[in-house]
Amino acid sequence: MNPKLMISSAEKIGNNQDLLAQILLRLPAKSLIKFKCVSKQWLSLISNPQFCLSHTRHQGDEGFLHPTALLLKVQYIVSPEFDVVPLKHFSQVPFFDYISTSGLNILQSCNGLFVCEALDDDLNVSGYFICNPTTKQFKKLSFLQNPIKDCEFYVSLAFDPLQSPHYKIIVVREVLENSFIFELDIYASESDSWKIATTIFETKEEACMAFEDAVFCNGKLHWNSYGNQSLYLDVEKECLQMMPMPTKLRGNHRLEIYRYFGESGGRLYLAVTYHAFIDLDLYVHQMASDYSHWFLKHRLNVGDAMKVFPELNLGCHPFKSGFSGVSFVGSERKEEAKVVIWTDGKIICYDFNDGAWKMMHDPGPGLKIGTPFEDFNHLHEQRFIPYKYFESVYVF
Amino acid sequence: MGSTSTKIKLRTSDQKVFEVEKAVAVQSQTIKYIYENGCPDSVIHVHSVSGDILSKILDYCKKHVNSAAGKEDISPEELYEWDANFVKVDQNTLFDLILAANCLKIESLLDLTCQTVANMIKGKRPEEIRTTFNIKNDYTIEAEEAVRRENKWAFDMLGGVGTMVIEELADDTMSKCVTNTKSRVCVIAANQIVMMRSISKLANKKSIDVYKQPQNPTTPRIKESVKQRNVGTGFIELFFHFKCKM
Repeated sequence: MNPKLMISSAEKIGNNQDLLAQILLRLPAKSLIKFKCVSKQWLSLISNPQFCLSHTRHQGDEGFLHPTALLLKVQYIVSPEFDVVPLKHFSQVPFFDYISTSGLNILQSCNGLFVCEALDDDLNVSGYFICNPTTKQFKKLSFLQNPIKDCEFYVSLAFDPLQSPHYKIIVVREVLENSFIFELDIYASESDSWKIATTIFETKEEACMAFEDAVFCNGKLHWNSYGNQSLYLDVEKECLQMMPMPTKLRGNHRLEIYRYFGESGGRLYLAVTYHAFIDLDLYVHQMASDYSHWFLKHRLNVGDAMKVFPELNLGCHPFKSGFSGVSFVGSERKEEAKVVIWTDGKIICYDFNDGAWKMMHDPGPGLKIGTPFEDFNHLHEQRFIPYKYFESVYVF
Repeated sequence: MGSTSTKIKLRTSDQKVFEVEKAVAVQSQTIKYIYENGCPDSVIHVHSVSGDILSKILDYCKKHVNSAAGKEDISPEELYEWDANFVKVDQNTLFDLILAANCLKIESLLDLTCQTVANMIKGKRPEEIRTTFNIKNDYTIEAEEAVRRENKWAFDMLGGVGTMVIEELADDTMSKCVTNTKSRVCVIAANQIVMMRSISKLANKKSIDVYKQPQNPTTPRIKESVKQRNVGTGFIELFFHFKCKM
């Protein structure tokens, strides 16, 4: 009989870092976070940046990461709280209150990292942070070229862990008040260094650039614009290019209200709404893969959703049709996307695969998503801004 | 000249000898390397694998080789199901398979077995993980508490304002979930009474995809323990509503 102590196979695996990592790689991020409590050795493995990168990459599906949930924030309200709309499974996401600041605005979400601006008691910007809400890791950004008073200053993030473990911060800043002359600075986390004024460019007021609204996709950072043209940056080559924006539909003299700019599966989308007493139209445009033009993918009438879901009450408030927070996510068929919309407290989506309106998230009969704030008399006066949340253990 | 009926002999740790077709045996990168760099007629020793485990592994390799070569008429879905049944074994055997797949370098089997273990442990609590892998807890009480507090959200199954649709739950997770003492829990479903255990069993089924609204939503009630909650069924749609007391 063997006098040695018999070690079980499970224990052998537990003692073998490589094998253990193979198992942990296949766990959802939430379980990994939970298992930090198992032992100090597990904590060390789970917090190891190389392991975290491997785990994040393992979540990729054919070159893309899929969001776990959408975080909905009410526009203009600066609290660190938000509503969570699950896309895959139920997700609890800790609110941003670990970034101790009086107020917080999310600027952009990018494949697992968020860039936010912190506000002081007077609602002035006191700093910028990047953070990963899953691990609650956050870092204050420091700029070589700080914002100048009364000059525009925009911060964006370029990050795709499936392509590179490093991220870049792109700053667009006006050199003189109201000059419309901008300089572009780029920070690379790989070298922890800034390149100042890599490009200097001028826009015209009519260009209606919305530098605060940036979308990173296909290795390029695109900015929204309410004019006929817009700009995007090839982040690798660090060169700025122009791209067209959808021209106003011929014969449509109505004023545009919102351009919801987003991406899914490597394709850029733009959903446009127009000003009207009761307006329920959403024109969804998709960018051609060669960036030559946009084509109108579909003119959605959100009012059609009321036929499928009679409990929705849209258009009951003048000029506030009751839908907002338009976002684009992937669907089962890879080539197609779903348009996700907040409508009257529920989250619905239009699936381009089968041209059907579906309920994406219903908090329950009689419950609506939309925290009642004092500033609003009616639920539909709130506008939601959706941010994609990727449950990820990525360490930066 | 390579012959499709070339056989390779393998001897296990418990001295059992297996004679297998070369195409099947070389699914293992380890065996392939030894065979190609050694004497083709000699017996290959697989020291760390027992006869029972090797026998199972050879079944796996044979199935996958035959399916890829078109010798067996089996669709990808059927193969996927065969794999799912293959890993329905007791925990010890599963871990033995991982060790063997690792040592024999059979990537697809390692992937399959590791994924199976991951699915098995993902809902467990840290204490249960320690038991499974026989891990010594080297945290001080304060240190462990600090880590738990920092990542509280990952432990709560339920909590906060919102609704949750139950998906895959480990069998005893529901009964151990933590509810905030300030929360109200209201479970909305249709008309019958079901015990919590059954809910988690039903929830483990992947085929819940028929949704309908319950006819009479129950009014929110306050209960201290989710276990005591009487709920309706039809469950085809289960909602846990939380309303936080302000």
